[in-house]
Amino acid sequence: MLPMMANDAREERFVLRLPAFEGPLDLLLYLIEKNRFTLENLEVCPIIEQYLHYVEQARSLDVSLAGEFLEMASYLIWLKSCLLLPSTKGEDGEEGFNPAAELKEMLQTYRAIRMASQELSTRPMLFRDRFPKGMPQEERDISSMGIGALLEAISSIKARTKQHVLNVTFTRFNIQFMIDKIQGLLKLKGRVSLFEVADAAERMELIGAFLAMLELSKRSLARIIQSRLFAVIYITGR
Amino acid sequence: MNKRDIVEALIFSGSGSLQVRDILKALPDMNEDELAACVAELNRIYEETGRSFRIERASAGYMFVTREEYTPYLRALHTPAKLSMASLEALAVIAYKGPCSKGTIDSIRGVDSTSSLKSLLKHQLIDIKTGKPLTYYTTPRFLEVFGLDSLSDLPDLKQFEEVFREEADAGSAGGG
Repeated sequence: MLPMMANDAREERFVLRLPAFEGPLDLLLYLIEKNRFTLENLEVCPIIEQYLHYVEQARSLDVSLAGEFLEMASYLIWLKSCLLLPSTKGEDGEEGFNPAAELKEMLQTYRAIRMASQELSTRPMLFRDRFPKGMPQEERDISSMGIGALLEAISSIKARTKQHVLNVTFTRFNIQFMIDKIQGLLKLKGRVSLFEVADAAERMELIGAFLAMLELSKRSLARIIQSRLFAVIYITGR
Repeated sequence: MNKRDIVEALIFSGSGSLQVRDILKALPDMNEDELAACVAELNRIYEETGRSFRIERASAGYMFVTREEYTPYLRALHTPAKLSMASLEALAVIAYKGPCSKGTIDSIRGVDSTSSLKSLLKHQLIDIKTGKPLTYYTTPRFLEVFGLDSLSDLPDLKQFEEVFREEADAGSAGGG
């Protein structure tokens, strides 16, 4: 994989080697080290800024980022908003919920595991640094087989017989179509149940109707009524 | 024929690590310390006569392995095992926290571990325990590959944390 270089010369310090990072936590630890912070004296805000900048830049370079990086970005944005809000100290001066501590703990655990994995890789490894007597690398000895081998076998059978599996395609219901349908029904009668909208009672149709209903409610075009948990959902006009 | 030579023959006959208890089954009047002494004696002979292999302890047993200086030649014959950093991370989580679910592994690593787990299963370094959710644990093979006698031989995870704590203390002392 190619190392990515930022276009802007001023941003030279952001030489992106995306594939080098095992995940968002790895990237965060890299940023923390680069800023000469330790987890113990960590200032969260600049790290969050840099992380978001990094993700943004990677996206502008059209690098497809793994979903985890974006998930972490949204978590960090939330974290930052928590930090900007007045502290949640109780009246007795006791510390309330501390999201920064949660992040630190997460990073600490990951860092220890990362070190442990590095330690593992430095051990003289069989089949890499030393070789055992007459033992194949991928042994298929019944006594050493576990459920993992069984599942692997099943998945290989599945892969082999794949062409014999009939693929059933289903219709996805267009939400706009469902919105029109609901509005049409509402014109005829003031109140309509969700099941009346999804009259074919197919799961996908029901999902389509449900999403359409939420959309109408969001646009303030309809009201949703459910008298109690699991009761029939009704839609009425506003 | 002495006991030492019988021990050698027994270990030689094994595929992978031959369990101590199996060796002692074949030599009922021997105890674990005597066995260890025999192995040490054998290794001393191999050392003195410049042999290309040694007997090593792994996974609660003993096995013959080649000495590291022969590795370049052996790599031409055997495809050397490769584990990605991601797989090693997942393996470390399972070794330290296992048996644990994929959810635990993913949340500690902050990324999805599906492909790492597949690769580890293929190498038979881990296996699955049924239940809800499925949990993963390291196999005796893992101990053999990494030259560990048991999981308790792994360095304490806290030890790694302490390295950083000391660094942080040294840093703040230097700064102040």
